[in-house]
Amino acid sequence: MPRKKELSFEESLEKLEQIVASMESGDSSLKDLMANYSEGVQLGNNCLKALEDAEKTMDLLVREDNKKVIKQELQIEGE
Amino acid sequence: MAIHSVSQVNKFIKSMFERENVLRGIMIRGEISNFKCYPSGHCYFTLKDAGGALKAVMFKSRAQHLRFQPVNGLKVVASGTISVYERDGAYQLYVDSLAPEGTGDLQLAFEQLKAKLTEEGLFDQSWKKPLPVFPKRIGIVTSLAGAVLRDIYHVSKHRWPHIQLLLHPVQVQGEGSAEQIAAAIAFFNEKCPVDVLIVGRGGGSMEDLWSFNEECVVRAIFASKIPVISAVGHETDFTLADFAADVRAATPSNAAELAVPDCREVARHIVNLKARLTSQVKKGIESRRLRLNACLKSPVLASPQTMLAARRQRLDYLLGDLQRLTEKSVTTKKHRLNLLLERLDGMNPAGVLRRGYAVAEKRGKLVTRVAEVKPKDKLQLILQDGRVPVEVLSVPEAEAVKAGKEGQ
Repeated sequence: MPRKKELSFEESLEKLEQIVASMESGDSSLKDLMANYSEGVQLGNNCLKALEDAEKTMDLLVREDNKKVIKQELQIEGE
Repeated sequence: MAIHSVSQVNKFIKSMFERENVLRGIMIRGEISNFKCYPSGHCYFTLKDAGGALKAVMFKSRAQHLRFQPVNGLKVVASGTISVYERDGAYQLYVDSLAPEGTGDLQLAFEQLKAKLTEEGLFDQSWKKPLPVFPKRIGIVTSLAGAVLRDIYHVSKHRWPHIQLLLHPVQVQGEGSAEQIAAAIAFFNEKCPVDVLIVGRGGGSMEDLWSFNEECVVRAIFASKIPVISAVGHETDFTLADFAADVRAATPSNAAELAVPDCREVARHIVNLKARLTSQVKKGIESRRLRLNACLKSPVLASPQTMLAARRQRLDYLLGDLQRLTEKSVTTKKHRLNLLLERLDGMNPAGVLRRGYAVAEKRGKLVTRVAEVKPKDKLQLILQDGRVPVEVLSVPEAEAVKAGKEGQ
């Protein structure tokens, strides 16, 4: 199933939870069941992958100086 | 006898008071009454006990350091100097410091502000905002040095390695610290969006934690649109910041646990969802397989010949019925035909002829009445075994007339 845009981790997880809930409530056609299954597996794998390789973010030391936001890299003592 | 002016007397009495060391740095126990605080910041009240009253004044320079709000009826110990206000000719206590009796001034200030802000509704549960489930950026308001930041760092990075921490460093105790904390909370709200805020400091005395009981900090937390987790001191320390926060954490580590999801738990959750997905599909297919099998096992599809045999049998019965009915109907009709044939036979003229009757014919037409013949007519007389030509000799008159009449 082609996706229009890349879903965020949260959106993917929420979608996966909805799919599982709707499948568990029953009443879907075999076609829907299979479509949901493959979409759900895809979402689950995306989520797990996202957990593993999220981009590294820099921790920041922030403050305001003369109405300007100053951001520096945060160095934790002893790290 | 010399005459003195009022001013001279007052001045003299004042100097008497000021020479008296007992009145300098004196501590007096009493109950506050007639308390008034003017817009100038100077406070005026009366200290009294069962036996008397003493006017007191506390100037702004001193009163601004009061943590609690002096109120009428409050039992206090006031310390200061007793002197004379020359204009009124009155002596009064110039208060340097005021402490509630029986309880600490911080404790009293805490109770007073807590009551005031509770009254305003700042601590109502209905204001509490839920924490985001998957925050990306955590804003931290605490000091750069100290264990709090390290604890938050370790716990949050352990739970979600890619969480981003943004620290706005502040002083967490001492002069001006409350204002810094309040400003940092406002800074994150206005200039530096984060998903959740942790505001806190490590353990200490009530004096050390005091900034987190200051009204400006409590109000800044209350006003924050970003959900705030407070983490002030140890588990047993409660500050007004804790009451205003959306969630109170017992410790800074606990704050990080509350703010940041554990990626292992989330991974388990996802794996569990996938398992449920697979099991639902298996169940869905299995239930359909069962339904299909039930259909396939039905006699209709399992042995169609049985169904045909039943129909064949019914057809045979019907054909048998048809034949029986046909035969019965034919017999009845044959019988009726025979009866009709017998009756018809009874009407056959040949039979009449056989019994000795004759039939007369004139020019091929049967003669049935006397009037149909005249003398000399030639007739054919039909007998049982042939024809005899005959001639009419005569026709009786009366018979002819009668026949004629009947013929008209």
